[in-house]
Amino acid sequence: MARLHLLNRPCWIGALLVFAIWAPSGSDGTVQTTTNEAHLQHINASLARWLELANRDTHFLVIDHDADELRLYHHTALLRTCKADLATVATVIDSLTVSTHLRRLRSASPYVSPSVGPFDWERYLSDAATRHSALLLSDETLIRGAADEHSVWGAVAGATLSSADLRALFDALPDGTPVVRLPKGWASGDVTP
Amino acid sequence: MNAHTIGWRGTPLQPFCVLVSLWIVISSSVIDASSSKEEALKQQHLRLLGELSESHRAASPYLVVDTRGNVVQLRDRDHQLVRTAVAATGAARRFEGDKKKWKWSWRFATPTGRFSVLRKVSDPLWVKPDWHFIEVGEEVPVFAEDPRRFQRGILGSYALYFAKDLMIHGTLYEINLGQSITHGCVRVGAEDLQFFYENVDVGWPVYIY
Repeated sequence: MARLHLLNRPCWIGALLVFAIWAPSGSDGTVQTTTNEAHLQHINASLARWLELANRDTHFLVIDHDADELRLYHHTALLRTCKADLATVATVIDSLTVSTHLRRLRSASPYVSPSVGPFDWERYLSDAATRHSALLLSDETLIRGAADEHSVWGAVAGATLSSADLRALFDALPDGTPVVRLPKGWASGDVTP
Repeated sequence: MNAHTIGWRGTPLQPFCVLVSLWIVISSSVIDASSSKEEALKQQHLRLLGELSESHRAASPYLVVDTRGNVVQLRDRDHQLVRTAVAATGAARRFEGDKKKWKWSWRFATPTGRFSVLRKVSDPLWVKPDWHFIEVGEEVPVFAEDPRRFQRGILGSYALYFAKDLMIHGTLYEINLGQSITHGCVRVGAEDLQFFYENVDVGWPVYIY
């Protein structure tokens, strides 16, 4: 009874409140540890996926947030390295794939002649990328060419790369191509997200 | 204030002392569990990096053909560029002859994917396929051994086959390098062709994208 009586004291109640708020989070260090764990789990999941894809006979794309690069691989062979601006790309880790090829038909202007290149003009539809084309990943990340005054994408968030790189990737990656996204610090193990 | 007053019936500091010690015990156990989990994740990270670095090295040097940029690259086992050559690749156009005579059509595209150097040939002989005769408006020889089907010199000094009828070869018209104009083969300049012939072995992979 004496103890129950003690619980009625305001100081006990105050102390319990402080404990209830403080204890679950432990301290700032515990919160940081949990974040680090989640980040490390993301990194490890990405590396495991990369390893898995490196044993398959298929093209795949690696988005490297450390190097600001998009790299095209087939098996373990490096086919192309594309410098990219990934500032607006979220570093959410997922089992990504190329979802859709966004393209336009021939130029809207009837006076523009088709240029020479690997186009299938018989269908009057360009199989290859134009500067207005883009690749859409399954998490709705857009891979597009660097914006210019004629860009149809404007300020849409996404990875931006040079026109030549975009055209190469656009042609090389069919829908469903696996994509690995490596977050910052993946190589060093620096787990500060 | 003596030690007795710090008991259950003591000052308002008592509950704080009890709860703080309780908190220390709980939080230290939480931190211990978290740090051991983080340590396990770090170990896994190191293991994965090790596996990746082992598998990252290619089994042999390899050729990469960029059909969009019309470039052939030779890379070593560590993926470093050894040589880059301007090339001409498939035009990706469809070709049909006179439909009354020929029901077939051809698509002149360089195939993409993983291939390998099947054989290397010096002074290659071009065996003209049917589409060549149709394209130039000549009569298609009936027999495969017809001498009109064979021509030397037109493929350059060397050829590296990566498929039955497809090869990396030379050209008489180097001015056309850098364009997508071929019937599916990969053309390179004479110097680059000689370099590839001398430095690429049969069996090395050819990746085309």
